[in-house]
Amino acid sequence: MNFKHYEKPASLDEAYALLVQESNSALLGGGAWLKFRNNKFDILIDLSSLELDKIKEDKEKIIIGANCTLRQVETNELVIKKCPMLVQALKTIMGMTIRNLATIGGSIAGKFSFSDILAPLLVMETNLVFYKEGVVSLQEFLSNKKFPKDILISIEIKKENYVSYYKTVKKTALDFAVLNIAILKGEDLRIAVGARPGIATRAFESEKKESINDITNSILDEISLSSNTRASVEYRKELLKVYIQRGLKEVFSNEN
Amino acid sequence: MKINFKLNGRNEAWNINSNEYFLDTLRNHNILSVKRGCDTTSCGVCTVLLNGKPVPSCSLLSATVEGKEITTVEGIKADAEVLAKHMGSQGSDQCGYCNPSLALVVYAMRREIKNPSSEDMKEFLVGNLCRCTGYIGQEKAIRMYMEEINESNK
Repeated sequence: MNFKHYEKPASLDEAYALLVQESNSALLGGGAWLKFRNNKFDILIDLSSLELDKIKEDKEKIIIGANCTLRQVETNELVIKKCPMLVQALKTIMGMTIRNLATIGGSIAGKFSFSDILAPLLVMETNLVFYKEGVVSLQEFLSNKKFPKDILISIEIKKENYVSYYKTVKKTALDFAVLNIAILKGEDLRIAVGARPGIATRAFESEKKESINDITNSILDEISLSSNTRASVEYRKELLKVYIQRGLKEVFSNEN
Repeated sequence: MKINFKLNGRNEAWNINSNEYFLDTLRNHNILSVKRGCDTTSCGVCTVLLNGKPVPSCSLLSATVEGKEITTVEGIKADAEVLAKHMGSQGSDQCGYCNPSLALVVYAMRREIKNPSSEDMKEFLVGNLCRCTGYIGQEKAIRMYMEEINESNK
């Protein structure tokens, strides 16, 4: 990654103006993933002066500042209490040191197909708050291929009562996932599969089925998997079949 | 551009290229205890403490260090010596390449977790790889280090 100018704006207005003034500008979270990209940006915009690194709550939701590091999120008392599945997923991401650098905003805005947190966030009721666009559901943000340049300010997760299951399969502890699965059972059943290797996606059709068998068969149909250097589609299919069943058994027994 | 920051308690003002990563900045200023192993945040040997928190310096943009505090193993001498003594006694010190980063992370760990279980330790240290050992001797050495430091702090 290369850039011509490094800017550290003191206000969101300033940051947004910089972002839209140059077509070849980029926002800097932790910068860990940006490092691997071949881009040559004109302006790199550091958001760390904007105090987007707080975690708070109101009656309905947990509000996580986009510039919080992953480690900050996973060690936060509120998040541990109210979003344990997110904490579980965060702890599987590489090692503690990179999680002290990478931000949750960068991890979401990057729309990474290898992401370990998108599947859990998709089954929780997660909204993103942008500077210009305002509140956008995570689902909408991920599906919108033409989302305009904007600054992610915070992530809002609705407080709900549920039991959950999260599984990530990695060949070594520090590798990208071969597959990850998030299941949430509250008033309804929600299932998301990520690193397929495609980006995390909800299984809306399968969620409507009743029995573990029906849901599993439907998932294998509904969720498209493919091969990459990490694993073959056949292997991913086996993993999906087994872990969906295990996860469903666990949430169905735990909810009683 | 110039960055003003604290290195091991001392005020520094260094000239850097805006594109530089802090691992190179440190080594260009002769802080050679910080190593390059993978350049992709996977190995841990480039770890430094940024405002007390372990981060991979290979992926830390030097421009962002402005106004912050950096600690390398040179800045935790007393702790490093106790750890080194126990690493030596357990035979878990072979090529030494991972040692400086391990010292920093273990120092951060004892300040963050009071009585780490084996699981806690594995979780905290998973990103600090050692190619020579099987980590068993290291865990023993770390426990002996923590015991000694906690005793002396009483």
